[in-house]
Amino acid sequence: MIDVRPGAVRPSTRRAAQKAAHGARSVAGTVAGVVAALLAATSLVAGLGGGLVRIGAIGVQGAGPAGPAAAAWHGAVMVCGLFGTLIALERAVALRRGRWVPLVAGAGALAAWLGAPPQGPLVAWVVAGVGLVALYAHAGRTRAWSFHLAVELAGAAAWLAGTLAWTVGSRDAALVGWCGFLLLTIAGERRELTQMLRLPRWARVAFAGIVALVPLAFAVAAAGAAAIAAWAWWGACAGLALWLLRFDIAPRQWRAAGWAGHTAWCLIAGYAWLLVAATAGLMQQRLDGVALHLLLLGFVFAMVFGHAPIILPALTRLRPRYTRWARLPLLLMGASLVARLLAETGGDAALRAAAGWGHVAAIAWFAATMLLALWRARGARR
Amino acid sequence: MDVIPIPALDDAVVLGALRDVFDPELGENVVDLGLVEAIAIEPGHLRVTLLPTSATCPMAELLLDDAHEALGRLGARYGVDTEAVMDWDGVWDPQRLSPELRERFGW
Repeated sequence: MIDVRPGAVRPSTRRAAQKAAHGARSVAGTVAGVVAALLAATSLVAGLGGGLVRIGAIGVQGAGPAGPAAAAWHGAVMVCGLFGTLIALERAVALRRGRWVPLVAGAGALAAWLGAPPQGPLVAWVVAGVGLVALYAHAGRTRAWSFHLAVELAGAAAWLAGTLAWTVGSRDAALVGWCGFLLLTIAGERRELTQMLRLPRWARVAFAGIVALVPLAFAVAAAGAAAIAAWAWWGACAGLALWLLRFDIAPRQWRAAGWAGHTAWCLIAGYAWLLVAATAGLMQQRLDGVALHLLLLGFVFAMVFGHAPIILPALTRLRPRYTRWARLPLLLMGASLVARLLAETGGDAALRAAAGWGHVAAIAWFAATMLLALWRARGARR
Repeated sequence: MDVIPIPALDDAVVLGALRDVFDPELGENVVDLGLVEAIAIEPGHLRVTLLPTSATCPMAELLLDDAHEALGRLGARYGVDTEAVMDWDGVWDPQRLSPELRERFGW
């Protein structure tokens, strides 16, 4: 008689079964990852199209199936669709679970782009926000809690809160929530690396105070006090920029060879843009406007440019071949942001549209550079 | 002809192999960063346990791949099976940094 108790299965049989199950999970995970990456790329195209419409560079017919709605969805698609999908994918890969979270976030952006009723994308992003919070909680519960993990979890909660604020028409609170998602996620990641450094006590306390300004700004914005919320929000941005320029590890690594040096250059440029954005925001005393785009394009995309070469191998297991040319799109983005700043302050519509094309060209150039670097890495060791 | 003997497989040899495994963002090796938590050398088998610096470290799989590759070369030389795993329950601490990195990072 054959004993069917699990413990009685021959080790070789058990190993084979485990291997088959792992293989099936691995294939499913890879497929989910590829689909999520495609959805993120779609979000990028949709978001940039909507942005070009808003900036006056193209007509509404050029913004995809949603037409005029694409302009209205621009910010939501960029933050919830593109960054929500990418950040959730990165966490899901690291935790080896929850790959449905980036899929739902990306599906929401696709629905928005295809002109679905607004409830569709918003429900998707609420569900994805809950999913990302749950992923962080799972990481803390099953692995280890840390301060930087808590900051990143707060970022995911800010995403969820921002989407809920958008559903009830609280635009300012939504802006703080969505941008807070990105700011806190980046802040948490950088705080993880600054564990390496010996920080004075006041620096550690200051960091906690800076990140605490984000939920404060959200609460104040939700209460309708937009001007005070702008002070709190841009104050947090200014504080974080100064903190990172002073204490982050990137300014010590800019001489590093290869991608490590590339990352450091991008991060330092991003911190500088964060400071410029915060200064502009404090001067204009409002949450949106040109300061918001200096933040998202200057700071957040510099983080993307900087981290892509080291995150792509984690997601694709391919190592992009180093090229110093990958730093050039950062310069184009910077130049286009200077043009944007001049256009917004001078009211020059043509320059504003040209700046918009410059932003898109910088992002497209960087994406093409990374794809080429990955292509050249074919056959290299995994 | 003199034959240069292969040094015995011990912690120092394993750490030497792992110095070829670099954190992609910092450009420092996992040994100096204090990410090597344990080395277990048994007859026919070598197992290395690494520590992540974060519970959601996206580089973990990559570091494991690189460690596995470095250990594989060592395993071929010594005729042992090798294994690299991540201890997700462990917590990294700056005290684990090498003296050189501790000095560079202000400790």
